[in-house]
Amino acid sequence: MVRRGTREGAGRVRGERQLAGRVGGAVLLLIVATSAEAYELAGGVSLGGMLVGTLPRFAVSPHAALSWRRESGFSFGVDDLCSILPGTGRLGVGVYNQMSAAFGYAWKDGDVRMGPSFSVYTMPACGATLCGRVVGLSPGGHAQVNVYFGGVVGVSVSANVDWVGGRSLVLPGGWAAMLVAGPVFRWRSI
Amino acid sequence: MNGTRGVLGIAVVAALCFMACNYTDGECFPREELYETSGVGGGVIVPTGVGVGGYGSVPFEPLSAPPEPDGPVCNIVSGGPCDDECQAGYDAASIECGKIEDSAQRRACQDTAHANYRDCQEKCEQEGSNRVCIRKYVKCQQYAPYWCRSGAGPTVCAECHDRCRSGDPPSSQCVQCGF
Repeated sequence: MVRRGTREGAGRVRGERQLAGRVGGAVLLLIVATSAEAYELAGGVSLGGMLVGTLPRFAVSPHAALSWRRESGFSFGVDDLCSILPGTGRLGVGVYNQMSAAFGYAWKDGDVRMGPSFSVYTMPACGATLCGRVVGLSPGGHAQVNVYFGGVVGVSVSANVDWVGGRSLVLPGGWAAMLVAGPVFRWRSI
Repeated sequence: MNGTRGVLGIAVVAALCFMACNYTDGECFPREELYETSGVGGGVIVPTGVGVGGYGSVPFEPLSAPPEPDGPVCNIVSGGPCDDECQAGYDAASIECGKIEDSAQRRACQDTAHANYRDCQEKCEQEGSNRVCIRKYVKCQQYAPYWCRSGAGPTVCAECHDRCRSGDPPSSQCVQCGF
C-alpha cells in the first residue's frame, strides 16, 4: 500500500517536471521569436457585401489586426472585422463582428493569411420566408490579403464564410458569406 | 488523470466554439413585407409554428386572424413528434401553394394550409391531454384509495377519466383519487 502510494507520488512529480519543462520551452521559444521577428499592427475600413440568408447586404467594415511576422515567411495574426450592415426596408442596422486566428505567409510588401473564425452578430436578416432580427454566434473561416504600396498604406481584401443556424426560424440553418475590400494602414515594431 | 480531464475540457470548449447558435430577437414578418411600411396592411404577421426541421417554411397567421394571445413566436420550439408531423404536412402544402402564380389564390391556399395546420396542432394537444388522462387513470387504479377503484358499475377512477377526457374540471372525489 505504501509502495503504491510512493509510486504514484513519484509519477506525479515526474508529470509536474514534464509540464514545467514544456512551459519553460514555450516561454523560451517566445522570447527567441520576439527578439528576431516583428509585431505588426494593421487597421482600416473596408466596404463590400454580405450574403446571409436570402438577402444581400451592403457592409461597412472597420478592421484591426495584430500579427507576428518575419520580413518574409511564416506569419500569424489575430484579426477582428466588425461589419456594420446599414438598414434596408423594414430592417434596421446590424452588426456582425468576426474574430479570427489566422496563419499565412508574409513578404516585404504584404501578407496573406487564413484560418478559423468565430462571429457574434445581431442583425436583421431574411430567410426563405421570414425576416427579423437575429442574434447569434457562428463559426467559420476567414481569409485576408494585404498588399502595401507606400510602406504603411495598402489595400486589404477579406473574405469570410460562416455557418449560421440555430433556433431562429428566420435563419434556422445556412451560410453567411462576406467579401470586403478597402485601405489598410500598418505599424511595425521594428 | 488530471491531464486527461484537462484535454477533455478543452475539447468540449472547442466543440462548443464550433457550434452555430442563434435566435430571433423580437418580431418577425413575411419576406414579401420587407419593403412595406410597418403598420400598413395586416401589420406584423407572426408564425405560430413549432417543430424542428421546418427550415424556411413556417406557418403564418392569416392576415384576417387576430394576433396570438401569447405574442410573436419566431423561434423553433419542438412540440414533439405529433407537432413535427403537422409541420411536415404544412411544409408540403406550402410548397404546393408557392407554385400558384395568382396571388389571391396563393393567399387562399396558404390560409387553408394554415387552418389545416392549426387543426392538426389541436389534435396533437387533444391526444396529449388524453395521454395524461390515461396516465392518471392507471395511477388511480393502482394507488388511489380502495373506494376510488372498486364498485359494481364504472369505478370512480373511470368516471374521473371520462371527465378528464372531456375537459371538465375534476370533482372533489376525483381530486381525492388523484385527478
